[in-house]
Amino acid sequence: MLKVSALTVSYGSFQAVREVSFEVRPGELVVLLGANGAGKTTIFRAVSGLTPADRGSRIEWAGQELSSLSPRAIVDSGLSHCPEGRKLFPELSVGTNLRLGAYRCHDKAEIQRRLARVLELFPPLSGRMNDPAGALSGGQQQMVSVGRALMAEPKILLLDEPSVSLAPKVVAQVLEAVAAINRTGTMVLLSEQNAYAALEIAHRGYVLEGGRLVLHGPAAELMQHDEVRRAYMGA
Amino acid sequence: MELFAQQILNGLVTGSVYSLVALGLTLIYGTMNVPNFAHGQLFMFGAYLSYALVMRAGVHYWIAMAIAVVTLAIAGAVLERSVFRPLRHAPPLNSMIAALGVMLLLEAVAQNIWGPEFRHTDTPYGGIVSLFGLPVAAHRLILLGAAAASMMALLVFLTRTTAGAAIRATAQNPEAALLVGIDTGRVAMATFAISAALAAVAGALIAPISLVYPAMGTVVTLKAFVIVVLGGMGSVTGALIGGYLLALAESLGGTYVSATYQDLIAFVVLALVFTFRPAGLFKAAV
Repeated sequence: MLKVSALTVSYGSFQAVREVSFEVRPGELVVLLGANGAGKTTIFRAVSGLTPADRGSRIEWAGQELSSLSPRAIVDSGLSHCPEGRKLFPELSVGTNLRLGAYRCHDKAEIQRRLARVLELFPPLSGRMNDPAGALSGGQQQMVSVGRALMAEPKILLLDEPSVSLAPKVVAQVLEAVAAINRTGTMVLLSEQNAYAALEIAHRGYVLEGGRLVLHGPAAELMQHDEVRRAYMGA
Repeated sequence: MELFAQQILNGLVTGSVYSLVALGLTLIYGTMNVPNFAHGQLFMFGAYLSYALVMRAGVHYWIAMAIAVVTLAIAGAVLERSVFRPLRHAPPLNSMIAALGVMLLLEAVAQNIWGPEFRHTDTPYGGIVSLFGLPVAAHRLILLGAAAASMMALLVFLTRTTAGAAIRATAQNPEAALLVGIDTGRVAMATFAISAALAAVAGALIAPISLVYPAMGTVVTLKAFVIVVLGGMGSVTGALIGGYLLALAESLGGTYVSATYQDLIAFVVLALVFTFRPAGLFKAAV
């Protein structure tokens, strides 16, 4: 279980995230909802060790306190972060991007097995393995980014806005893949601006506003919640 | 015609040195955004070590080169750890000033150990061979081959191995590199070591042809920077081709235009590139 308590992250004197607590239980797909600047990306970065959390914050995962670990040790603990904006290695081939996702695995046969699994999940990538990742369409680049995170074979996958700036049809494909990943038992923490589509595949959700948690509950309940409908679904 | 052929050969010899030094410079710039002004001094140390081992300790030429390469690789790693690592999160100007400091320090150390005199190194390939009727010093051919082999080895390493992919990945997106579990600190150290080793290869190769003296690195650093800008900052292919191009332009320009202005050619080329292709001739890609 991933259990985040009283997470506060400051950039200088600005508190981007204030006293946020949430958890992802085994088997769950949890969505973080919130507008741009609500603090979703900052939370992800703190959990995966890219941005230091303030004193007093606790990020517990698999019996370890993550806030004192390096990003590399966090990857080794079974947590993989697919960052906002894809962050591919644009000049490297799709195949190299994916294989680098399994950088911490030194068993060639195992890497090959994981690669086959990722290609099964994202068939369009099969024909593009030798192309530079930067040459792919937005949707395919997103597949490479998610695939690269999966190559670490994580127990929990953090997905930061995987559907941003994609065509609606591609958004559906990406989220369907996310649901499929979750069905195999991988825990997922997903952040989305596309609230309706995300709540449809999630078990539970948290709503962030200005760096604070304002609401949480089962996905079905949040979908019916007036405030969520007004703020995120234009209803 | 023979003059022309001779100048082409001279260009390729100088180009080998330029490319080897510029490759290291561009690798360090690409992965760490540090303009290592001391890179020519690493080259100078490679030349001096080779000189000292061959001429004073009587070590065989190739063994001397191997020792120089290993020593410089270690020195490069130490330099990264002790000077540039602590400045990683500081403003870029700090690393630049540190690099200038290292440059002055290395030159002073060399002068202190070996004195300001010009030194000459012997080579086991002192003879003259005939290449298509052209008389050529054998060591020049050795230099061309060894430099090409080193660069080939670097390219194979960067494109065919996981460690090479980790270096390129770190250059292209350091944060994503962290997220897949790459230790970017170790990548920085390895990059410095590899770059210093390439500079040592260049220094040891050129020692028997040109003279060895404490300031020999300064001009090479300047030229290497021109090449790195010419080729596109951080581009490996750009540095490789750019080194040969610049040296050829210099040797042909020096012969057919004016020998007095030979060293100026690099900077004319630089001015032209800045004016017409500010991003460099080749797109930045490690």
